[in-house]
Amino acid sequence: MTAGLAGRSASSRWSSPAYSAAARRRFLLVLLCLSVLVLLLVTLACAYGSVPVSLAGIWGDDASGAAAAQARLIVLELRLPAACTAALAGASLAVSGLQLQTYFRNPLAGPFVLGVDSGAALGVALMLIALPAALAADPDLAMFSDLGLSGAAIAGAAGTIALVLVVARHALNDATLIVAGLMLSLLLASMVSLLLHYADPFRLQAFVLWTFGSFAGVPWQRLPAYAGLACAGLALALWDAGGLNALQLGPLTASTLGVNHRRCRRRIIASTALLAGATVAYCGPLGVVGTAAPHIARALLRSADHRQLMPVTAMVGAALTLLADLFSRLLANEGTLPLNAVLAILSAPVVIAVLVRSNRSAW
Amino acid sequence: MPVPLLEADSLVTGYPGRRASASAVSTIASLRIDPHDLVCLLGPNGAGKSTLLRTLCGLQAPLSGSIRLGDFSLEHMASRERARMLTYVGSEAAPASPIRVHEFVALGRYPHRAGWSNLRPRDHRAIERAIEDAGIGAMVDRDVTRLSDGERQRILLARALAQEPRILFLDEPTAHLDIVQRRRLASTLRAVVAREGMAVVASTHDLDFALGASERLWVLDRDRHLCIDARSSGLDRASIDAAFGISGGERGTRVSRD
Repeated sequence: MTAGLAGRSASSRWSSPAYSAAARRRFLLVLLCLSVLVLLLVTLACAYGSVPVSLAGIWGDDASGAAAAQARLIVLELRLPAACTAALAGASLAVSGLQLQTYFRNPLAGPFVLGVDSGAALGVALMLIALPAALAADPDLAMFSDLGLSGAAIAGAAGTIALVLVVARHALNDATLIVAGLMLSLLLASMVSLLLHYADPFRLQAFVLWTFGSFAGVPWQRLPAYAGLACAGLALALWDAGGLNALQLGPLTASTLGVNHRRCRRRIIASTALLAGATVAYCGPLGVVGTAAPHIARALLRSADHRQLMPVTAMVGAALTLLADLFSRLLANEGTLPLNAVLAILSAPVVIAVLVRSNRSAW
Repeated sequence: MPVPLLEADSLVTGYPGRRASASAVSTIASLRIDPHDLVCLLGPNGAGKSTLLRTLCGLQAPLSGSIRLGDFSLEHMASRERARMLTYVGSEAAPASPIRVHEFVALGRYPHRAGWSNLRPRDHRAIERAIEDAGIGAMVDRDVTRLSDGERQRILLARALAQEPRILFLDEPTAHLDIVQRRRLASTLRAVVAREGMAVVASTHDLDFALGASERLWVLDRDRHLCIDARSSGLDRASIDAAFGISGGERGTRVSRD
C-alpha cells in the first residue's frame, strides 16, 4: 500500500492525482488504526490498576451494591480522567515537538531538547515558592492557584522559545542550536534547583513529586481548564499546519511560496507555549515524548504533509503517554513508577533508532 | 515594445544597516523584464547577483528605488499574491526532513490553494507538467534529502515551475550540473519561456551556458553597477572581460581554466 505503487499502476506513466489519492488513503488508514489503538489503551487504562476492577461488572445486570459503586467510582472518577489527561498531554507534547522540529528544521528539536520543559518548570517552581500558602491550601481558591501555575508555566515556555529563537538567529548550524538548547535547558534546571533551596520542605516535596510526572492530578474539576488550554494550542497548531509545509523548506523558500514567515512564527510560539506550558504545569515535565512521536508519525505516514502529519502525531503521542501510564501503574509494586522515567525509556530508543536509520535509508 | 512584466527604476539593493551607512550592494539605473525573456545574469563573485535576484523577487526590500509589476508596486503586494507572480530558487531550498519528490513539487501549488483544500485537477496538471519539464518523472517516489546535488537542482526547478509564476528567478541553476544537464536545462528554460509567456532570470558563472541559453544578458560589474543589458548577439567578449576586471594578460589563463 505504498503511494508509489498505486501511482504507477494507474497508467504506465506516473499520475499525480493517483499519487495523491493513495497518500490520502494511507493517511485515513493510519489515522483509523491509531484511533482504535488509543481507544483500546484508554479502555485498558480504565480496567487495570492497583485495584482489580471488572469493567463488565460496572454496567452488567448485577451492577448494584457497594462493590459495583466503588468500582464505578474508581473507574469514572479516577482512571477515566487520568486516561483523558494522558491522551491530551501526549497529543499536546507531540504536536509541540512536531512544530519545533519542522520550524527549526532539526530532527532533534522538541520541547524537551530546546529547554521549553525546563522553562515551564522554572515558572512552576517560582509559583510554588511565591504563591501564598493560604491560597494553595484553600480548596475554594484551588482554581486560581491552578491558573497561576499554568500561567507561569506557559510564560516560562514562551520565554524559553523566544530565547531559543534569538539563539537560532545567530546559530551557525543545526548542532549549535541543539547545544544552545541543551545548555539553556541545563541553565534553567539549575536555576530551579537553586530556587528549591529556599522552598519549605512541604513545597519541595510537592515539586519533586511533580517532576516525576503524573496524570492522576487532573480530576474532572481541573480537566476543563487544562483541556481548554491544550485544545486552544492544538487548534492554533492545526491552523498553521499548511504554513509548516512551506516552512519545512526554510524561511526563505517559505516566503517565495507566499508564507508570511513572521506571522507564522508568532503563532507557532504561541501554540507551542500553550501546549507544552499547560501540559508541563498539569502533568509534569514529560517533553521527551514530543521528540519521539513526530518521528514515529513520519515513519507510519511516509508523508511530509503537516495537515496529515499533525493529527497522526497527536495520536502517536497520546498512545505513547497512555502506554507509559499503563506501564508505570502495572509494573509498580505499589503506587506508580515515575512516569517521566517510563516515558523516557519508551521514547528515547525510538529517537536513537530513527537517527541511526535515517543515516542509512529513506524512512 | 511589449508590456513589461516587471520594471525597476533607480534601484539600490543591499542590507539595511544599523547606522546611516547601510551597506548598498548594487545600483541599477533601470531595468525591465518582458514576457518570454530569458535573461542570464553574469558577474564576479560578490557582485550582488543573489541580492539583486532576491530584491527583484520581493524577498528583501531595496534600500531605495521602485519595483513595479504592471500597475502594482512590489512592496505593497500581499506575500501570497506576490508568490503567484514571482518565485525564486536558491541553494537554500533543500528540505531538512524526509519528503518525497512528488510532495515537494506539489508544495509549489501552495500560493494557489486554500489552506485545507485538496489538490484540484488544475494543480495536478501543473505538477505533472513541471515534473515532465524538469525531467524528473523517474524519481517522483524518492526522498528529496537522499538525492544527489544535481538531481536536487532539477527538483528545485520543478517546484518553481509548478508554482507557475510570471517571472522565475534562478540563483545559479547550473551549479552541480554536468554538461549534459546544463544543456538540458538551457533547452528546458527556452521551451518554458516560449510556451508560457513567462520570463526567467538566471544568475550563472557559466559563460557558455549564458551565451547559449539566453538572448539577454545582464552583467553586474565589479563596481556593482548593472553595466550591460544587452542582447547576447550584440555582446563582445571584451566588454564582459572588462566587467569582470580581466586584463588582456589574464584572459588566456581564465578561458583555459573554465
